[in-house]
Amino acid sequence: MPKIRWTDLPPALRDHLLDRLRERKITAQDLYRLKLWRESDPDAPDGEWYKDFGSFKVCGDGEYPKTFLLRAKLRKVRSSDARAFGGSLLRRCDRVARGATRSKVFEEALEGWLRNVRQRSLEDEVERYYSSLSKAERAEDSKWAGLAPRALGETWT
Amino acid sequence: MQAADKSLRQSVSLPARVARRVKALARTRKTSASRVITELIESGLEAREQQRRRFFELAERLTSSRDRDEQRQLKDDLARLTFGA
Repeated sequence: MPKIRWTDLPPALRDHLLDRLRERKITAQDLYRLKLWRESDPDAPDGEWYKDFGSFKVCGDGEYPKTFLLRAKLRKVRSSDARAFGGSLLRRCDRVARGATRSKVFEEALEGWLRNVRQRSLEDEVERYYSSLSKAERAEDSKWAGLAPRALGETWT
Repeated sequence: MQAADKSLRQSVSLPARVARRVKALARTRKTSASRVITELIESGLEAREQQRRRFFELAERLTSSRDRDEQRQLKDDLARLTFGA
């Protein structure tokens, strides 16, 4: 069974947690619990996992711890979500959750939204590029577009 | 004798390699393996307690420090203790 790898943690991630300790947003007691847990050499679960230490949670994927979520932050989101998102949106969110937490559903929704934004920005970029071409450049480009698949076919056959 | 000092008989499985070292240590010191195991556990517990105290002391210093260099050093020390090398 693979073990969770702690030594490859990005320094910025470790610093993030220790800065929160400095600001007293997480407790030394909870950080010590993480240390004891790490020393027990825990097995790495398959896929995503969470481990609660009270004032923060460690979230990971397989062998790699990915991020630390602060309880204060989570609580703040939870207490304001009804006002911020409205009851009907939350009810719809709960319907699609299928056992997952609201945080997880929001995380996936945000990831989807970011993917769409990236895709749209790429398309805009391509469109801008083609609109900026002169007639001659466009003709040359289309000639190249015709040549490329042929050249590729020759390379691979 | 206080209740806390009473001896309890415990059965503990040791890896063969560790058991061999315990016996060798007992021979050298001309004492029993049981005594050696007790001493080793006591010093292990003491070391762990010291490490715990050091951890909390570093955490306390980090929360009260205003010096950036010292904060950097304390964070490195705490990261090493928390996450290993």
